[in-house]
Amino acid sequence: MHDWKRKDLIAIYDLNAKEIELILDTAEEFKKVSKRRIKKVPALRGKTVVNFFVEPSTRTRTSFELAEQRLSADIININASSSSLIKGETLLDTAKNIESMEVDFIVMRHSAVGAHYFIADNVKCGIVNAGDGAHEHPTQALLDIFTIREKKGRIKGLNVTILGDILHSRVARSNIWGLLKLGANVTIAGPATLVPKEFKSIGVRVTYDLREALENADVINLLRIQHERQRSAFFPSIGEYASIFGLNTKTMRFVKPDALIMHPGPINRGVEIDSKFADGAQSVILEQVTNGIAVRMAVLYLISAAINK
Amino acid sequence: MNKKQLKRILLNRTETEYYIQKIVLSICREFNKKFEDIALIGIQHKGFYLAEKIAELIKSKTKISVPTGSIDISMYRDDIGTRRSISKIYETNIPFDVEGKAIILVDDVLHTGRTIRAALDAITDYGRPALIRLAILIDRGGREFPIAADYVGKIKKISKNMKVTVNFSSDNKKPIVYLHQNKIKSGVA
Repeated sequence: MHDWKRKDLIAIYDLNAKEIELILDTAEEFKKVSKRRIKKVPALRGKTVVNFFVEPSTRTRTSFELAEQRLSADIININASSSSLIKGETLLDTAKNIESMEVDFIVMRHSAVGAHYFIADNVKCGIVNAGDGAHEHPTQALLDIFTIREKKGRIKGLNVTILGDILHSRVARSNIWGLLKLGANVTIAGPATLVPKEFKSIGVRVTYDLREALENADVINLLRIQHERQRSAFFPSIGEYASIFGLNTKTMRFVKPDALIMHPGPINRGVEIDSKFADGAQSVILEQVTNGIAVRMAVLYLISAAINK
Repeated sequence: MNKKQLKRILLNRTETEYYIQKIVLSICREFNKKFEDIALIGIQHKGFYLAEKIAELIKSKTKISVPTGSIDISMYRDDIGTRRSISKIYETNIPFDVEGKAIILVDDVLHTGRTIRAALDAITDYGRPALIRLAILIDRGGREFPIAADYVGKIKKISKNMKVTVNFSSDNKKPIVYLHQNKIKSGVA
């Protein structure tokens, strides 16, 4: 039978290739649920999910909420501003209180790396990481990989370039681990200040030359320039970034005509990518959003069995 | 899976063939000349093989191709709070509109009736069929829900701690039915 034993999904780093493939296969069937007239199955009927977002999020939280509702779970949202964390309650106390209300899953976003492991070790609820600092964002990577597999039919042997602010990106880290485990060739590229060369040691190709990064790429995953995290200057100006590392008419000449263009959103139009290409035939950006719900349904469904143990 | 289990043939290939033919005959009898409204839905994954086989036999008998789909009931099971393992989700593919159709639901073995209960919920999420009938190769008794089959190949009471499996050869031509002494550890009931 199947080898899903985890009650938590915290990092792609923790998974093996078989587990990743099981999530992707399961997501394929859940994707169909959202295409039906009745977009709901009773798989998590009677289960309660708390979406606990200590860091703000709109799209990830909306995607999780829809996934939970389409699985028939009951859901509650707690934001940092409305939680007792601001009254001085510790994170563990908050989690223990949630657990005491017989909650089955906590979907959590938190800026502190390790917070999820700590909570997972201390409560019986299943913990799903919806982003922790610059560490991991596993469901984003899963939906990216799902989209690539759906479009290209495989992951093994594909050349995937991740372009932009790798340094601050949990999306990049989760993608890198997942893609490497499934046998893709991963290149990271961007300004030297934002692309740590240490990634070479895990088998990632590092380049600061856009042309080299784009040529031969089957997939180009663009990362958002994160103004809100960028307190010191990593590059001279947004305009300079756009002209050197943005996808525009000039740089798109290096891109293979069948390469997929991806972006986890929200897009800074005219910075990472010009509108013409963000909305162009090679872009799968909105399909990523669609697939996010299916992947999150699959993750919650799979861990639901482990919670019962 | 427990490899030491004892396995013997419950229905050989000829007998299995005969009982499938029997199902086809009873379907043809009920839907005589009104085949345009019927469709088969097999429960993944053995029930789907059987549905394909039934469709093939109906076609060779009547020259009519009955639309055939598959359904996986994993998302509709009633043991969500207690189940320990997750079974693989097979493809659900219903390539026709169930609205107003006479649906013949097909599965290989009928036991507790819980799978059928789940399948009825699943099918009605796709629309409102005119009616749903149930075709089963082996009714082994042991019902826990008030569910009965309309077209049955063979009725044979099998004790609870045994497992019945239908083995479809790779070309789906000649299935065979086995009886296992020890219940196979499996996520599917």
